[in-house]
Amino acid sequence: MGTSVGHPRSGLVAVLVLAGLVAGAQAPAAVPAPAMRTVPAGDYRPLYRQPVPGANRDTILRRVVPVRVAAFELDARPVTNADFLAFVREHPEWRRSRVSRLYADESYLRRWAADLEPGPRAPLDAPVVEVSWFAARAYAQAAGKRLPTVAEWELAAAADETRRDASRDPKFLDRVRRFYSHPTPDVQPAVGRGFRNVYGVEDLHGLVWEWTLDYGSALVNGESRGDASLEKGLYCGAGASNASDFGDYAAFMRFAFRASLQARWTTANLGFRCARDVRAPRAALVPARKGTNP
Amino acid sequence: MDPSLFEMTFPLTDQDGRERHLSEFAGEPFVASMIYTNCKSVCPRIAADLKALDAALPAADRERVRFVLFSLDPERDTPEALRGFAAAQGLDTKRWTLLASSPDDMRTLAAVLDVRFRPDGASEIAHTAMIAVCDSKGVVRHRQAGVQADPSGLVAAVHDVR
Repeated sequence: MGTSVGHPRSGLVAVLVLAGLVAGAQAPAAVPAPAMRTVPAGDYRPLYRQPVPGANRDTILRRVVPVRVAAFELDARPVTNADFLAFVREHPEWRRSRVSRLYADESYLRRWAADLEPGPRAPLDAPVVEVSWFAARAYAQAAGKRLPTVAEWELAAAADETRRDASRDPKFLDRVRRFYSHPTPDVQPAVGRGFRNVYGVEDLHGLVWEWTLDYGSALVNGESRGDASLEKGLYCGAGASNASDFGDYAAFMRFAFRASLQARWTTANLGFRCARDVRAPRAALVPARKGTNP
Repeated sequence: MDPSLFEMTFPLTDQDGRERHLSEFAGEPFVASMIYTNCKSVCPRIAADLKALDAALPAADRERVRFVLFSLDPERDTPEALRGFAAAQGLDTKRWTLLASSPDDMRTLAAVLDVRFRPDGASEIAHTAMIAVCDSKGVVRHRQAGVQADPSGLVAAVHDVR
């Protein structure tokens, strides 16, 4: 959309750009609220090892203890700028000019043109970024949802297009690793155009990092006896053999990324999607009594 | 303006079962941490660090500072459990307040105070140790990550805080 100074069309382009910006500010959400997909129950194998009792009373082993994840619902795609715009319209305390510094840092929605205007650097159908954990959680609550846990997110992310668990397939791991090697674009592309897994969940890989409810669990060493601090076993040069799986480099990166985060931080490649507990099945419809109209 | 913890307006329950709000702690500096009463490991050390700090304070500083402990395990940390912890640790509840929020609000507290935690799936919660010195307006002015034997950093912070 570049214009050249003095060119007769530049005025027209400027008007069109302005019209686009105004339309962006006034239009309702351009993309419908995300559908959700059900992820059936499964086991998530964390990277860290937990102390577990050994055969003898005095033996403590360190083992990967799979985490059983109950079935849950997950947004089919990340939350977009359009979604977030609708949210901040209804919740002014989360607008950029008003957000508390307790809950968001100075980069919060930095690329948006204004409080209620995502603008050209934040297309309506692109994932919202530069949002803090607090903001993401507030959005989720307003939508009647919540953030996914790490275990839920990683369970969903283990899937490829045809399998629930592709996480031991070196070819899949390689693809995911290559997704992460792309630099962050200044303007995010639209959601829903890239990777889509067997659950019908899109963009878990290849678009943005995503907030999780318990991102803070990534920093703790699982040894509840000690002063839980850096998960030393997972960092190079500090007994890295504590880690369970060297093959899934992308999972390492996600773990390290989560360990580096603070809840109020915002970054250009960190967005989120929502999750929800599986709803209880509806009670069976009771047949109408004979002779009555509904 | 630096953000204040008093922006968190949700209710908490203290060790006597009374509903409290963080803004009640305005007017005097306070030292805050997060513990849970079933913790066998780092929480007794946090309490020991806080007691060592209290003992090391000059009288003038001790008179104007309070201690606030937030529960990481509000479902099990009933007022009775909090009272039991205070008694076991010998905490003077005129100056020490133990508070439990809802589980959701506990996540907010932990996120604001930057306490990382992970339940182990059984009965324990592995978590980081963090001691925050807050001023009379609820702004965190000094933070100690981890437990350590020497309270002098905290003593200095309490001395300087208003």
